[in-house]
Amino acid sequence: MTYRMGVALGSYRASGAVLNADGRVLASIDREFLSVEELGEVMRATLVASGVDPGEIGHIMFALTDSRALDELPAEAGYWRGWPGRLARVAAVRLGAATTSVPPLALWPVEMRKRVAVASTCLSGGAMLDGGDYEPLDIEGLLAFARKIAGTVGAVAITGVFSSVTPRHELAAADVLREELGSATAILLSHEFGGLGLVERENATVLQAALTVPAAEEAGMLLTAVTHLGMPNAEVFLARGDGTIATLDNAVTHPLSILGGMDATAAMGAASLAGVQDALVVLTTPDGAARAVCSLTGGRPRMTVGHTKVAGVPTGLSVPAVVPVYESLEEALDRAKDAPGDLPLIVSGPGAKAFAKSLPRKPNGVLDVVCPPDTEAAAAVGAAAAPVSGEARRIVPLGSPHLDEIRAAVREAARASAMRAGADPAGVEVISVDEKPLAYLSEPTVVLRVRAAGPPRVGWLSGRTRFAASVREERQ
Amino acid sequence: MRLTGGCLAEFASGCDVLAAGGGGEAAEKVPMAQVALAAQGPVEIVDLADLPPEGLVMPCAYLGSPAVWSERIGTGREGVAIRRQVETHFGREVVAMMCTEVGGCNGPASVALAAYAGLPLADADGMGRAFPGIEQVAMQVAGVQPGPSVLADDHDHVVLVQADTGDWLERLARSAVKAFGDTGVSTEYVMTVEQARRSVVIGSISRALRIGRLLKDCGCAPTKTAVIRLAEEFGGVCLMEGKVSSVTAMQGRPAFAANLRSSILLDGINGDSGRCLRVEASHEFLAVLEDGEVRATTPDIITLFDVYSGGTVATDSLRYGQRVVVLALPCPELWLQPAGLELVGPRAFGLDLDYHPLVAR
Repeated sequence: MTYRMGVALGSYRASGAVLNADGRVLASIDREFLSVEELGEVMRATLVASGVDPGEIGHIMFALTDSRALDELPAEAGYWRGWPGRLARVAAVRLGAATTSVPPLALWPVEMRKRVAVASTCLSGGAMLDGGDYEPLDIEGLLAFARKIAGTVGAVAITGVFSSVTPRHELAAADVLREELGSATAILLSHEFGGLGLVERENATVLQAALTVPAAEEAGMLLTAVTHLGMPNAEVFLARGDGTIATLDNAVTHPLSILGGMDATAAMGAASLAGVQDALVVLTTPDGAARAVCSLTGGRPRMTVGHTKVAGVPTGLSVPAVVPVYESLEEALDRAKDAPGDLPLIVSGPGAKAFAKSLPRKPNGVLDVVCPPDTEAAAAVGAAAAPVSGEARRIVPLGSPHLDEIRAAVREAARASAMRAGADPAGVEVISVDEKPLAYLSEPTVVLRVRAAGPPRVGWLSGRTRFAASVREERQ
Repeated sequence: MRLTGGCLAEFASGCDVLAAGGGGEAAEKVPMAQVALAAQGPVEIVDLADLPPEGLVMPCAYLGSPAVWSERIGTGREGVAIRRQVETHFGREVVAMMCTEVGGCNGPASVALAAYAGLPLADADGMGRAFPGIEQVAMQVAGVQPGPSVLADDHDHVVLVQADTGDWLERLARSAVKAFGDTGVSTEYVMTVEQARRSVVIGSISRALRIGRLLKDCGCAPTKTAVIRLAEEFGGVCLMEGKVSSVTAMQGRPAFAANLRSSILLDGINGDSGRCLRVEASHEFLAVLEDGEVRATTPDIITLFDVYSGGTVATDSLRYGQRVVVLALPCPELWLQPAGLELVGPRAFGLDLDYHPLVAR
């Protein structure tokens, strides 16, 4: 029997939960969390409460926020709180010479650009919407740039025009740079972060490249804590903003994906504790106040449509669309809804009981108010219960004679992406297929977006040990 | 008057108000204008009255697919090649660039085009708002020849299209844009300054700036207060503050302009509770109805503001529960001539309605 442990580390509050293989909560805790030194104590207290042996923990899922997380980067302010000097120095390479109307990093806050960017260049390359070359790839230019930046950069971000149609040039450019720069330099490619919009995708890629260093340090700290507690079999996952999880190494190379992860798991955890899929979730603070409302449909949080600013830089990222509760709870509840009709209201977070008690009556637009057991630790429960997902997007001309093959390939790419994020290959399924038409194109064209998800892979780290053990058992 | 980087944000918010929910978000093209002004210096905004009557005015706009434009963001220098071609063809000098469509993202984009082309920008435009069609411009109503059309892409490929009818011009121009890869810059209705003085919407750039400044002055005031001030200042009507209670999209096969056609119901809130508006939308907001009565129709400018952000709302981004304030501003008068209404009145967009002048209640 193996168990999953969820640990949510907020600004001043931490929660932990242990779930059995059926997803039932064995125990949960919720406590103050004033410094990262207390991480070991949080995990130990969770284990003690559950009575589970550390060696039996197969997965640990962390949800991070604020001071312990990458979304410490304030959304609007023009500087980075904390993590002084730890950002990687990044070189930005754009493939697409005729895109000078907004050069790379042109409109970043000056302080941010100085801290992050070493050099940038706009070289010939990229793709057309029909998959042909936008411009021939400038290999000589790449070599010259690589020689110029060698020894000065920690990471390179490569962004090609229409890399979401074909990443061919991004991949080829990465090969050239890898040859020159060696393996110590991280190379991030924009097509992995998907989405249309050259400048926003480029910004996100550069930010992710800068964050690889602090993300790796953060990951190292979490791994050390896990090892010290004697959990050799546990694989570590991080919660992402869409309410799914990814293995630590995957999350480290996609650090912006964990923005909003704690809000997402706090909402999803509360809903799963209440046993509902469609609900409004109110997120509470320790003193019993309502902080924000999040709506869930089919168990998933509603997401923003992108345009999220990170440290003053526009990116195309989506984060959970939480509605802050300022004055009127009922207004916030109504704004959070996707459709008319009453929904159950689930209370989540450390102040759940106090909040539920403080309600004078059932708010309008709500079926009933549910404050399920363990909901104080909803974020930890949500992380522990979350699936692993992956996504693939591609721009597809509907007139293509290879339409069926393309659709099949994108489904396969989504499944592969989920597996790279740590999903169990045997359990990965396509969970949504979405085709969004693009306006004003001469050929009817859609953006095809496929998501696949599955449970976290099992025994990845201890597989060999267990195989040896089972062989021994069979012999006996 | 000179347009500097410092007033671009206000200008863009004015362009969004004039866009009637269409035109693409102006703020997205502020960066390109900012880069252009930083490189080339401020752009002169000139009155047509102050330009030599025989000089040429060149109306320009980006066209094609907004999605492609967001990837192939262009150089901003497309207008340089177009200017050269236009001057060669007509054998005389271009003295000003004009924004074809002030509503939405072509507002700030035209500032960038003018900056790189080394031209002043006429304080005028072809629509006074946003419309989806190339021929839905004041110059068409005034009888200016649409051709030739000169098109350029980000790699300085230039195509000159001549045709004797508007249909052929559009057909051939569209095939050039397709060959570019569904994005590019074009000019049509090139005319002399003298012609332009009686064929375009005058004062559009300064109007967008005034709207943007007024909104900025309103600062943190509630959105409805700001919208009421806009209505007072520009002769419009603040129709209602309401909550979106449904958005019904008319489904169809993905077509050239995607399947944009929707009906939106708004329930009045705060001071307007008990009322209900129906808003008909396509690329732009086309009509507002209340209790079976028409409150506003295209070509008057119907714009929705998000109560919380204070920003304008695009027709394709409305969702259930959103709080909005509905504003209607009078369109430029030239659209109210029979030929204007035939081109851009409600029936031109498939609505079985006549134009109704705005009435305050």
